[in-house]
Amino acid sequence: MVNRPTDTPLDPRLEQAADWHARLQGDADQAVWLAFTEWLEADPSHRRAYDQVESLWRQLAALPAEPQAAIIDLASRRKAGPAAPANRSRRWFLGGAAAAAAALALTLTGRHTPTPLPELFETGQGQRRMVTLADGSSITLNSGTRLSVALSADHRAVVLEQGEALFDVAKDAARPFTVAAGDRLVTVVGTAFNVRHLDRSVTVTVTRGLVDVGDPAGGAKVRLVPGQQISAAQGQPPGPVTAVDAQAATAWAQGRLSFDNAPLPQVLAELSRHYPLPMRAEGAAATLHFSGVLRLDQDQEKLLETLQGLLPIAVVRQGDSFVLSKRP
Amino acid sequence: MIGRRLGAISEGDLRPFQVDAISPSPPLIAAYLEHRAFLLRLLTARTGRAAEAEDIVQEMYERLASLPGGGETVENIPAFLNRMALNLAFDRQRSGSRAAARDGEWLSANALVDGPEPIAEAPTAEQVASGRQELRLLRDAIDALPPQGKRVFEMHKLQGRPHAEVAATLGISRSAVEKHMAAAMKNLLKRLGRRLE
Repeated sequence: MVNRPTDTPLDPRLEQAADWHARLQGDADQAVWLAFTEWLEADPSHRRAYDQVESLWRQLAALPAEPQAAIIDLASRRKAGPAAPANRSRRWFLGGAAAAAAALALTLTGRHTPTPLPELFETGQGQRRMVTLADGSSITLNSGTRLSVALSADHRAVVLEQGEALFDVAKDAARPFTVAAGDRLVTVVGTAFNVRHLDRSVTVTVTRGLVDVGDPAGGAKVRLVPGQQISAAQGQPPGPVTAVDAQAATAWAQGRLSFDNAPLPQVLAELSRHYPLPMRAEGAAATLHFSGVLRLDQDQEKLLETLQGLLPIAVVRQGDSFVLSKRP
Repeated sequence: MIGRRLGAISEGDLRPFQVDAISPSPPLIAAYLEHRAFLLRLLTARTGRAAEAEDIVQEMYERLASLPGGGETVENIPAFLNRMALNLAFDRQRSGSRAAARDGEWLSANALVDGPEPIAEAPTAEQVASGRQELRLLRDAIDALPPQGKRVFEMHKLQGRPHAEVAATLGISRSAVEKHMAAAMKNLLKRLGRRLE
């Protein structure tokens, strides 16, 4: 039954079972589970096909892991620098999160500390959420954010894959807290700051304490103090440090968005991250500017009513989006 | 594993209406009761027997009720319950006895939440011998996977990292991770000559 090398193609039902198995190991939602149930119900042989896949899966658990092999491999390839094959090193540098993770892994394995298994946190569109970590730090995730957290004895590492998060870090000098976002690495001891990783660009704003922004390779760092902000596009050196209203930049965590003479398209892009339907400005409306604070706990229609009261605009729904034009 | 979720000791949504929604019974039990009809359907489809499905659903209740913490740290509860149901179904089918299923394998039901599971039972000497040979075959089959597929497979299955983390580390999408995993399993099934009788 086992030791029978074969060139005959795999039974299509076994292929389907393998596909289902992989989907259910991912973050399948209830609709996927329902479809899987329907597939099982469609033919009794599907059940047996799934048995085969699951039994192989269990058998594989007996194979010893080669701990962190992939990551050490990546990190050493990076160390090899120019000697590494061009296509490989390019893929490596494009993967911001991978770069950060590998750099961290390098440090951790160097200290012989077991790499903790990161925990993933996510928010959907229009959702905000606060998590408190075991070290007492808290992270507030803005709409559409995905990040992972790994706490170990000598390190607290966050990878902000996408989105925006406000960090309030519990002071622990023995365990540096780092946030990797794209090709930026933020290092702190105990402080509060906001990191935004959207459209291949990373922006860090500090509200309390001191924050160093560098890259995972340990290159030049920029030190930020409260009220300062720095931005860098992926693969580019960071721009200048600017002074900002840190309260306004982090108002989203209190369910508000604060704007100071911001162009309407920028306001709408920001708001659209929190609401189900996109909103855009058309024609002369795109040249309007807005100052003020908008509450995010109202529904989209109510929000648009508020905007119409504050700006000379008319709102029309077009299919799955709202279009704002200037009132004559 | 549930233990992996312990990094977060509390979490709450900032939306006021959700902050106030504190459920009276442990969330897992409440979700289980709501989800029971689907679990029965899933298990009937999986085992082919409605009575077996009833037994497993009942067993799930007992296990959930004795779970410390009431499952506050489980993230996607319906998926957690579905996976637990499938694991129990498989364990019971393999062990063939309710007692064996009840005693050793709650851990493996849990482990599938986001990682690999421990081996469920101690094999006989004969099983060890043929198992060892088959493991060598598997190792060879894994080594023969295309490089990226092998990397994904090792990170998820052998190192126990969740799909999302594998995706983040390698800079690929989660659906790419699923595709690599499915392709790897098909490849192994084929090399091992598995077929449906």
